[in-house]
Amino acid sequence: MPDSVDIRANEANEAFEAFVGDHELRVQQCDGCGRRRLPPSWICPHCLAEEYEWIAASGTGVIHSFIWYLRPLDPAFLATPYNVTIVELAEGPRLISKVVGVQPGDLSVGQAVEAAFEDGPPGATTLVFRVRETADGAEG
Amino acid sequence: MVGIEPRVTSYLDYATGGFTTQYAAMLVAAGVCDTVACVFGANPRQATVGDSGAYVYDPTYGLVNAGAIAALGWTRYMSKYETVEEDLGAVAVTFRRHARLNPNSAFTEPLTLDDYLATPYTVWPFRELDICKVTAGGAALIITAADRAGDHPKAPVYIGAAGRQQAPLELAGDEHLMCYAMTSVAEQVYREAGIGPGDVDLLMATDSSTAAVIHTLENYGFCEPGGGGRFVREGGIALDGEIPMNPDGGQLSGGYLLGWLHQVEAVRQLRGECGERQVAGARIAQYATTGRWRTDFLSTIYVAE
Repeated sequence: MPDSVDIRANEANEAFEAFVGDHELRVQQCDGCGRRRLPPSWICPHCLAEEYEWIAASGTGVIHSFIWYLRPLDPAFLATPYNVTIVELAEGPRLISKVVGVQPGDLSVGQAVEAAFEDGPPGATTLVFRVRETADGAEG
Repeated sequence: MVGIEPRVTSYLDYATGGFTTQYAAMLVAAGVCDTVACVFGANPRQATVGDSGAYVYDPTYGLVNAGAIAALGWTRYMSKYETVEEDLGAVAVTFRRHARLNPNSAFTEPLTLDDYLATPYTVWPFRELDICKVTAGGAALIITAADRAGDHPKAPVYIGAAGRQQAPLELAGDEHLMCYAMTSVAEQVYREAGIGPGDVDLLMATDSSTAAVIHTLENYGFCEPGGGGRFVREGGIALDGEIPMNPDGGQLSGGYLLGWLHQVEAVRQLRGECGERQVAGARIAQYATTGRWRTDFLSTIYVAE
């Protein structure tokens, strides 16, 4: 029997990836309780409503936590150094991602970042973040 | 099967010892089983060399290894509280000192704070010595009803209380990353046992990373929030400290069998079998663990006869 839950979960994931492919960052907004969420899910984890809208995100956020891989821990990821960063978007949801254009020592919790997009082969655009410059030129 | 006709057999997919023994106790308490043998064995190819927690959490960004989840938690912690590198180093050094008193330990080379500080980072803010290695070994624990327990060669140890709390899956909340969900487990076990952390003689707790020790001490109330590093640096978890912890050397130096050895050591300590590393007069031991990307927290209170 086809699992409609899986199909709906895939729909949400595929829609998010398609937006990223178009260099757009969107978050789900629940029709039931109004909460915004990511990573994509077919049902609201707060109120269980199934209806939602994709709303455009500002693309800005702050670093919630981060780590730097300085020596390989896994044979599939040998190219160190690289960071893995959890970003808390201005809209609330948190995402696992990375910050580009930085070196070890450049990042801190609470630092302002903004979304960027790295194009790979067709259909393989990756959502990344970069440190946001504030109006006076200093890092936010 | 060798004269055993089990009423129940189960394989627990991520059977850290605590989950297994609490399940066994439920089977006995419910009258399904009279006696349950909880057994574990592993002989990994990378024993004493490979990092534990090998797993790819996110293939797009390279979030790999359970130690990385603990490292993300420590980055959060450092943003909230004042820390020094010796906070984690003191955990590694203390447990190595304990391991050197345990003839079954996997790692017994002397280790100083300077040695620790001289090792490079693997996944910042962690060094190699902050993440436990896989080791080979086996363990068994026999759970039975209290009224059947006297009829055995060795003194029984009693389960005084059990608690468990799974954290919601909301990404990267501090219930996960800083193990705040432990506070619910603490409330459960201390209420059920009618004790507080000050009554515990011996703490056997997950040290898959050095940082997990600090979170455990704070969230269970052995020291104040933000004070865990200083507590360890000042000798709080040493054999003669305020709360002796992992006297067998723990996962970091004694050996990592997915948490089973913590419970084995708790039983041996409460029986007074531990020789040089014996915690004098230990009557109440607390076991505390975490699992599944810090979403599953559990504690059991063990009491000597």
